[in-house]
Amino acid sequence: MGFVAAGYLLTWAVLIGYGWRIMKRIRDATRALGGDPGTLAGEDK
Amino acid sequence: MKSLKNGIGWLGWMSLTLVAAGTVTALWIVPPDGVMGDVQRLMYVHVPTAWLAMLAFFIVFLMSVLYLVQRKPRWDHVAVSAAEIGVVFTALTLALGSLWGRPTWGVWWTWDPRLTTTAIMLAMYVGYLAVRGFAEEPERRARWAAVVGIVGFVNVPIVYLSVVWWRTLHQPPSSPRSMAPEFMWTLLVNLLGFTVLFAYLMHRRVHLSQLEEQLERRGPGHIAHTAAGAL
Repeated sequence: MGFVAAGYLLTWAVLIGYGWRIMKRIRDATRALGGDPGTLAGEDK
Repeated sequence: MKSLKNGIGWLGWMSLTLVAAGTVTALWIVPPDGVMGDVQRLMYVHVPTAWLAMLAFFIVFLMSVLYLVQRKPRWDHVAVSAAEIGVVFTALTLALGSLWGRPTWGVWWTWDPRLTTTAIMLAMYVGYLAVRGFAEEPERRARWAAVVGIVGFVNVPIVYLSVVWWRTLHQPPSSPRSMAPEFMWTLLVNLLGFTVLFAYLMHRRVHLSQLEEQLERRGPGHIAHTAAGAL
């Protein structure tokens, strides 16, 4: 079961890490554009 | 537009719920394979990541063609987003395959046609992302990337058909006829969950690409500001 656990942990870690990184870049870009990072910048204008 | 924001939020939560349900089913509910035992449970993540990698690169191909025909930046935003997400899923596919291969084949890696063509596919789309760094002018960057996106796609059908064309260690594509119903249903739940997650990641990544384009149009000062904020 070690290989299976490693595979599932790796999958979750990579996808959560990648998703978190996209969100952070969106927040930073929104802030740099002078918008509110709490909103979907560009979409709510 | 608040409804759109709520809709996207729901898509994210739905994808997490479906992937979590798929993981629980794959790890604790469905019985182990009669021949391979528990290690076969890796199939429920390995197959969805491989399918989404190929879907992502098909989207890159389609958007690249559309960009070259219509020259609309939107197609380039979708293409680069799909390429980046496709690279993540391809790397996961290879890592999961390696974890599956070690206990079943006795090796972490072998130059099998399926593995080799998949590694080439990964290198091609890392190259696609690298090419974008060589051109500063957005229109030229998108044009170069579109050409790489079209040429690189030639390898994708080869990856899929490699197990049919050549004698390989890797098993041929599974179908409902080659799989027990409980295995098939578990795989379908995971395929659905990961596909919804892919749609959510694509939406967010395209939005990021649009924001970065706005920043780029404002000039280097704003880009530097963002980069500093990211540290």
